Amino acid sequence: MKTETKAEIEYRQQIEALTKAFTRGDLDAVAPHLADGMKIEYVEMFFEGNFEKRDDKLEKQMELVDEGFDNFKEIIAAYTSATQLAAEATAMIDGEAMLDWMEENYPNITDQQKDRIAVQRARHRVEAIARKKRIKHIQFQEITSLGEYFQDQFEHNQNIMIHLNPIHTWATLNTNELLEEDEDPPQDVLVYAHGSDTHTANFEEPGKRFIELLAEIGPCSFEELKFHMLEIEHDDLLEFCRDLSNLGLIAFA
Amino acid sequence: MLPHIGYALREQNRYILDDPSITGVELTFERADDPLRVDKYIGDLDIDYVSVHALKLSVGSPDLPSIEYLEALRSIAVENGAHSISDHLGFTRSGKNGEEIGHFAPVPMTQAALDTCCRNIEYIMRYFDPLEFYIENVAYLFALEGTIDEADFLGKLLSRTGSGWVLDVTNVYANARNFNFDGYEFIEKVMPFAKNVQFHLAGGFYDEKAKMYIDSHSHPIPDGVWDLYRHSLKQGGDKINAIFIERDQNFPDENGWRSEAAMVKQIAEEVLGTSATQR
Repeated sequence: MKTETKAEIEYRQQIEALTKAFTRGDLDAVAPHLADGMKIEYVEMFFEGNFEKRDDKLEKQMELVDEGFDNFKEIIAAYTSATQLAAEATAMIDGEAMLDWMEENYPNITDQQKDRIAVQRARHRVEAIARKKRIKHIQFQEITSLGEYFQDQFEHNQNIMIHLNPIHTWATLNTNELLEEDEDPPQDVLVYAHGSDTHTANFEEPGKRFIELLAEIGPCSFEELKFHMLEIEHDDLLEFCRDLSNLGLIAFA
Repeated sequence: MLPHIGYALREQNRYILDDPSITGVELTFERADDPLRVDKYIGDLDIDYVSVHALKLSVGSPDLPSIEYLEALRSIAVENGAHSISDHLGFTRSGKNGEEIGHFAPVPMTQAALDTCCRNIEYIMRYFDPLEFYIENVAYLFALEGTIDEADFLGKLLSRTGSGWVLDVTNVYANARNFNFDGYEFIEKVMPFAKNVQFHLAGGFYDEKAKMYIDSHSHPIPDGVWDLYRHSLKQGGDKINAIFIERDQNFPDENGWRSEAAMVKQIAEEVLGTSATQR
């Protein structure tokens, strides 16, 4: 590894000191570095612009959580004042870090608010999975368009494989906050990529097993699926597959 | 030859990008980089010249940018058929595993900063080859203490690295107005060292309280920027590959979008010659 020269070390120290000052709004620490004639109030304008941008990004990133709090803007402001943004952190990474910070610093978060946080975290996970498996994400979304064409054929055609949406994760909801009227908590909900958005879907136990089974065995024919899910009637399983295809959770190819 | 002319792509102007004046488009990386997106950010647009504009290469940082960021940038560029990638002459973080400022700060105009920026840019250019790389002069609210004049710094950087230059005409206009130097001379001094050039044009506003012109990308291009643009065209000539108009808020109606692009093209034709054919 190359050893830094004295000039490089000094430059590094200067940039580190300036970055620390900028991220903390420390005008006194910036002042000695300013060129002659520069006004410190313009540095303050720079700070304000930065803090606003970070706050705005977090507010946009976490609309779902925002809806569950009366004072989310204040919480964001407290978070951005207390913490620094990690180098190259995306809005998602900062959002996830903020949720961690909230859980440490706000012990009175209600169970309803926790449900919103759980789904928000699941959305972050979906985004991370989509980034890692981009090609699989695009390939799956491309074959979903064939759903209508294959829906009448997959029952008997062993060459048609049922594919599970690879971009999904589970979240557990413990209150009615985000559930429909006829759904009782606790519920495991699937959060998944649908086109360029994220959607959620709830399942009873057989449905959950169906998803986990497909995740385990990979693309399979309807006959193979039936073999693994003997507890479900043929017509019910057929109908379930069609429903999942319409939801964008499975695709045929 | 006439440069490619177009807009920094926003959802608000996507519908006018089929305008006959428009043959280029600039994609902002942070907008295009959506892991859930299934289609190309540029969509079905048939555009001759595409550039990807980043915010976080942070060429003024003591450490090289991460491979992850470079690869993500390249992926977006390749996916959208881009010819080039650009970023700003500034720093957004202290270094690897450091802290992120959230916006780029101007570098101190010193020899150490120049050496660091050159090292980083050379690395970036090797990584993105054969895609071209351009570095943009920034608008600043303050300058850090330095030993080199800004135009000299930029000239030396372009000369040493062979990087292209995004001449942000509005940034030169704003800085010249706010810090009392001659923007025309600035451009004359730097241009000889730029191998290839792209322009940015935008409109801002004068903040009466702060007594500063702010490059907010929120208004039509003002007369002062049009004049500097003409001067820049004369200085750059055949080196100019593309001209992008930036607008981020307070969006115009359809006529506003189209007429501004048409004006950019008209002036380019006047200065570079009406017989100039588009690249």
